[in-house]
Amino acid sequence: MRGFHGSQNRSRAPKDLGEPPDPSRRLVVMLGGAVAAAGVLGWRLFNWHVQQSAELSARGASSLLIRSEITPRRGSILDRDEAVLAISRGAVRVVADPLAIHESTDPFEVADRLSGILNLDAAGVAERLGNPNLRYSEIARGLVDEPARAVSEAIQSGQLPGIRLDPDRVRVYPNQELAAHVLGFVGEGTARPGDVVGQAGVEAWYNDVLGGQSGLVSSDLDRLGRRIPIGRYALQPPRHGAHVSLSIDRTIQHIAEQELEAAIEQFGATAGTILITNPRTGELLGLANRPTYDPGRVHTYREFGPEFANRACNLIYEPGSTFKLITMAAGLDVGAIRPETTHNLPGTVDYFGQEFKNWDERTYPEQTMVSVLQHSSNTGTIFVADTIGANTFYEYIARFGFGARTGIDMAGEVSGIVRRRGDQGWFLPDLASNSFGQGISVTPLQLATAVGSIANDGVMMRPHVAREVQHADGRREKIESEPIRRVVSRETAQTLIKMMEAAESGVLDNLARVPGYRTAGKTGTSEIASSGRFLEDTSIASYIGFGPLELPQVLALVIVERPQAAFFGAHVASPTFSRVMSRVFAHLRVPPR
Amino acid sequence: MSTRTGQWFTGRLPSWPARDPYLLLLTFILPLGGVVLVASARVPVVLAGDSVFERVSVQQMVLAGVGVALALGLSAVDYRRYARIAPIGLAGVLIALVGVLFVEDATSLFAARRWFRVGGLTVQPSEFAKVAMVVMLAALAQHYAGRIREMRVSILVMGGVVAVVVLPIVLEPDLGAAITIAFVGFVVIFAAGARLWHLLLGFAALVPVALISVSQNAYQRERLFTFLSGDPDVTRTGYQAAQAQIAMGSGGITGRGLGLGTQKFRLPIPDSDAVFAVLGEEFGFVGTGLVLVLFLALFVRGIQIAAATDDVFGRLLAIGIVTQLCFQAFVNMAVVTGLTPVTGITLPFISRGGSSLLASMIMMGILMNVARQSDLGRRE
Repeated sequence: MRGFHGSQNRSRAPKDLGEPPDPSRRLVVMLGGAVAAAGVLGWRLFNWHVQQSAELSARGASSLLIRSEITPRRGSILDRDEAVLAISRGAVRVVADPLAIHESTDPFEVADRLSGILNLDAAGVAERLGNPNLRYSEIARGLVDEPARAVSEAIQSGQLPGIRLDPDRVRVYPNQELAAHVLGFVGEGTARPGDVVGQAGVEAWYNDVLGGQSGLVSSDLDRLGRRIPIGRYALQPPRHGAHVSLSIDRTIQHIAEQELEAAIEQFGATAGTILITNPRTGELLGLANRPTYDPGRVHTYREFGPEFANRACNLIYEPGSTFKLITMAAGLDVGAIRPETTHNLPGTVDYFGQEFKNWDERTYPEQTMVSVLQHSSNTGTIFVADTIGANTFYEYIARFGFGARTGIDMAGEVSGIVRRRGDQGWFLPDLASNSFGQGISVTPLQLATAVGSIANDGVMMRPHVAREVQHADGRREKIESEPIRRVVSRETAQTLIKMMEAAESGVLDNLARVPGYRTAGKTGTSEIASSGRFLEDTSIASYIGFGPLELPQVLALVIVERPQAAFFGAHVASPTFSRVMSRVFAHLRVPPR
Repeated sequence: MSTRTGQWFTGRLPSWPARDPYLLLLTFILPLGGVVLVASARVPVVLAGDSVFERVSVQQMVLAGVGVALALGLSAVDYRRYARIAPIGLAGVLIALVGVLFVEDATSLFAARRWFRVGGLTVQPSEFAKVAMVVMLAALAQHYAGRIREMRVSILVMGGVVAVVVLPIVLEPDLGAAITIAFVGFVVIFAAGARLWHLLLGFAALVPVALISVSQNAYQRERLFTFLSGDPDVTRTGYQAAQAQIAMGSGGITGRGLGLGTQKFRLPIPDSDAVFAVLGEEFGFVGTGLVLVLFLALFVRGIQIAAATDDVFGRLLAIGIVTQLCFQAFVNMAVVTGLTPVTGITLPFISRGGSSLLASMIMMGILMNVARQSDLGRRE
């Protein structure tokens, strides 16, 4: 290496600034610096590539691997003609990628715009966009129509960076309130947020069938949340939910809704139920309750009020005189009485220290058992119960299914309250009051099922509302009707039906009569117990009956609660029964007599 | 400036082809590696639906070819000629550097104005400013050869050249490039033999400039604080560092294989600033270590050439060129490996970018000519 200050320097006399350093020394310094820098870098590379490799690649493997569930399509609920009663519809869910928003723009600006479109609270939206550690934050779900389109347009025009629309579904009930209590409604499940779970009725009972099974996608995502094409990707497709078709006939359902509405309006009642079944199969053909609700708009109700109760099987009442059919059937079946058995029907009777009256407090001497039904005599029914004895009476109560759930395939069924001999709180006079349907609480469905067994030659059928499950793979699974048990003999059933028919034909101006058809039934007027006392001047008026008697295929129970304009079942419920049956027979093309 | 000896050299040796085997190897292998890595880093674009021969990869390929030709061509040009045209070159790049500040629709990224748009290409004047500054400094050192120990020469004249080049770049703003260029300038002045305390004084003069720049530019503050906080996850620059780290770790020793990396889908600018991370994921320690060794070899070779050159101009050219290339490479790698705050510094030869590649290849061409006229060249 040569010197740095060459020959050129000699021409000019340098000031005394000291000798320049040996330039090769400075080169050595630079070399040293370079080697040191390379050493630090090399050490760092070794550290990351070799020493920390396992940990870092594991971090990379987990950092942006997204596992997302694919929501299965929830099956529809159909009526018996496969008309849609409930269906899931495609919707969108507004989802934010907070990290992407932070990378590209101001989260508050996005929150402002988005909350403007969706009519949401801007601060709430900003909060959900605020955490840059998140890749997923849900802003709104179940959007359809206009708001969905508005958001979609805003995204396409680039106003909402980091916001995307994910597919979502909403549950639609195209007939609004029709069969609301049968269908039930859906809501968000508690197990995992975002789950759609049936909360009542068929939606709840068949939730697993309707709901299907989620699929799963897992994939590596890039920094904008898109899938990396050469990254890991796995898809497990969802199993879509099955369709459930019901035994409900939407025309019969409509008749039930309409007639119940009319009766409630006519008599100024507060509530009511019409239950229409096929006693030969146990199928529910129609079930209407008032008050009612719109299952598609459940989120708009401020509280879980009485309109949500399915009065047919979630609430209990005292059945009153309709229950005399049960006592009578028990008496006939054990042979204690026959239709022509006669007995005095005193206006009042003292039974183990408690006084019981006929509704009209009149005495009918030497009357047949048909007259007991015709006059709806309490004292006559007490005679029957007393004759067969408490043990036998309560055995029949149990055989008819009271005090136990029927097993209907709707959520929330209750079992009613029956106190038997020997139970705490049971006293001897209770046999008398129970015999005509007081002091005993049943569901309308229990009564309809029990009376249905009489219409079905003594065999009680399990009530059910679903007829068929159509799986997503096309498989159809029928839900067969099944008997619960034989309750009374065929002869008993047929004898009782004849008695009912005879009793009704003896009633002058029977409003329950169905023109052109033979039907049999029984009125009921129960007083309403409140705080241990019966309320004056108000009742639960009911009528249960079936027909045509040649081969009963329709049973209807009409219950009108607290009618103001009239009091007795014969005046309030009977005319409704008549109209319901006429229209149902016509719809089913049941040939008139 | 006397060039009598220079003419003698040119007359004695065939001026082409370039002979230095190390520099020749580097001239080919580095841009080739760049072409491969840029193409790999563009895989996301291709998979998103673009042609396999998408614009950036093809452009890089063509420019690499042009660059190699340019380097080989320049290796035949006597480097002494540059001393005379150095002021003109410097004036040219200064006009461009100031001009770019006034270009309204200059391609902007992070609101910085760094590029001219010429046809379909973008030209970044600061890349060529690096070359012009080094040549100018070397020429000045030669001119004031005996007076380098005077502050007037080392700081006012040579430091002044550094300052006029750096200031417009600070204003773009591109603090990373400015600091790199300033550092290279100081290294050249240092190698020229200036007094150390003069250098310290000049350096101190630049500190306020950097501080003002940081205080005026939010993104620079963000980068700096992210680095100081040591938390890789708080901001997007921390995110970039974290993703680069994952890329390195995922690469392990031998890498996942060319094109198979997935971190380039997550790294903000995988074909440019973060190309070293793509290299790390796809070729592992072997790949990054090799590139590190190549740049170290370039630097060492440059120093050897400088030591074997007895003329001040050539000697400082060699030092300036290898310092420019290697220091920039070092900063880029240090950023990717989280050793320094994030700056927008590219990896010479390898990162996407025509201006950078061409400027680097021009420097290689000049260096090769210095080499062949040095003792090393004559011995062959």
